[in-house]
Amino acid sequence: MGDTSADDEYVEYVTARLPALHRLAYAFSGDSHRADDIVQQTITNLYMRWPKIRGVDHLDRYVRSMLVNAFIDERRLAWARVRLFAEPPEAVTPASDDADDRTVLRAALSRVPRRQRAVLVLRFMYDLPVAEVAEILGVSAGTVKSQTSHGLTALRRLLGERTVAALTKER
Amino acid sequence: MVDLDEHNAGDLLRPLRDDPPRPPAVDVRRAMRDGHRRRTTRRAAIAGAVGLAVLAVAAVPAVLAATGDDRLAPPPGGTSPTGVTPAPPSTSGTVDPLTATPRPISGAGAPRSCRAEKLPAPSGAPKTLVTAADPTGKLIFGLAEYGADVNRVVLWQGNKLSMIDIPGDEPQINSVNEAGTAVGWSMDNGTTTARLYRDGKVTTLPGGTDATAVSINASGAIAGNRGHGGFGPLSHPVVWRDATAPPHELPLPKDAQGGAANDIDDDGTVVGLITIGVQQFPYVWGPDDAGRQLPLPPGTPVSPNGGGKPGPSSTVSHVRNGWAIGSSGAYTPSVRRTRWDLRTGAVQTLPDQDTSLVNARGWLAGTGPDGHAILVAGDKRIQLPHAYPHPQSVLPITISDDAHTITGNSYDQSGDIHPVLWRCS
Repeated sequence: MGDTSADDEYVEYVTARLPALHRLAYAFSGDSHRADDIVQQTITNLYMRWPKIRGVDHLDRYVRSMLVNAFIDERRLAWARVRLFAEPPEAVTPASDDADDRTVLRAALSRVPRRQRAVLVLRFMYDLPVAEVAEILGVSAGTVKSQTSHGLTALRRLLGERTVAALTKER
Repeated sequence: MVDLDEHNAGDLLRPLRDDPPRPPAVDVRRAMRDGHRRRTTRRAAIAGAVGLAVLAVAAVPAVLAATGDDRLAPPPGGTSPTGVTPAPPSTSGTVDPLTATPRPISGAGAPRSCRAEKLPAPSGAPKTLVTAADPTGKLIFGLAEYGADVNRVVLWQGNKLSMIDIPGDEPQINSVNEAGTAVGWSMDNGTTTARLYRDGKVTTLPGGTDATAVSINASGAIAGNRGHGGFGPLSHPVVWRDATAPPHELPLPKDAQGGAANDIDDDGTVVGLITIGVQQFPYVWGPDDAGRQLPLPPGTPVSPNGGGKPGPSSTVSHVRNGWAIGSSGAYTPSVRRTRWDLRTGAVQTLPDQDTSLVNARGWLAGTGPDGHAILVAGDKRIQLPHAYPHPQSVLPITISDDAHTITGNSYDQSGDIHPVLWRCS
């Protein structure tokens, strides 16, 4: 397709990172099919730019940023299907009928607007500092903080006080 | 009061950092093939994009000129908001029981066939899509994507394509009425901002910060959402009676945490959803703002909120002339397209899973099981031909009141998106 050694490098890089990328996409979307789509889109974009970016510093961070954008973009790509909200809210597939706290939590998270959700996942599931989240999302630290606050407010309201209390034990 | 803040949010969310239930199923070879094709397309597009930047500037006066002419005149032959006149109820035996409800609407019978046309796309924009059309189908708005973050709003009128400059990022037009007034939003330094387009000018709606404007009706009333970025389900549904005064909030039931307005009918009825915990219910606000929950079709999975299991995720997405369409259900496999007759209260599960649009006569458009776009007019079912061969999917976006004009988008295998117009007669 292109330069053979560049292609080999690409395949090697992508193959090694697939599980981590998929895990992150799953954290955002809560659905393994959609996680596949997001990763597929990300690695397609990556291949498109590979000749230029294969040598950059912090390639992992760059790719993570591409994946976050693919996730946020997914709304727009699928936008025709949805117009706004026309599509039923994102699927929440319970593991079983006795869905547990985690299912409720995922359901609530899937209702938080995408940018806010991305911030919550990166900061609190991946424990990344504000500055790094800002860099990944290409926004200011102030925006990350305000998105965090909006996102947490949304989660608390969705879950209700009792559930929040049950799930966040006093430490 | 238990707070959820930066200190304990990790306790809440960290347990979700588990492995997906199965390993990734992505195709690296396909990514290389698609990526390669896009490299090539992109190289070809760069020259086009440069040319377009110049063209776009030149196109603005053209748009101003175009909107100053008779496009803004009322549609011929119609003075009532919907441009309709009373008709005898149920003129033939071919309509289904639901469409047999008397409707103050006239017009010829259902179209017999449709042909597909490719709407022109600006050069260098491999993803160009329709996002809105007026109820007559003459004005069509869309979006041209030049790259990850560069989008521009486009307007098709006849066969003429023009570019609309909307300040901010990620602009989009979500709705346009017969008079050519359009509403939508864009991001202003990360804040969603409700915009209005009229006479070639873009303005910010009063009180439109942190808000979206999702639909405008024939008399110029606008439905939207404010707060939480202007996107449901936690935002607050609002209505601008006109574009000159701030919006007022539509009432929500006491136990609801938020809601969303999705569409506004010509009589001022707003449809959308309310959010109660992790559940969402279809909801309607009348012209007097009085709200009511719509019934779910029998058999829709329901579970009590807080019972440890997400309940129904239902919404009303569109309304036209008293016909409302949306979906009911809890999880993807069980979600069913649903049509409500707001006048009689009848609720019906639609046999075609993917009919997502309804017009003034209750006719439906969507995607059929074999992937073709379809028009369902009473008991007539018309397959809309593909405008582009072998699409990955085809999704209608608008259907005109007479069903003579349907717009939509064709998604091809490489991820490109093409705007399509179907003319039916």
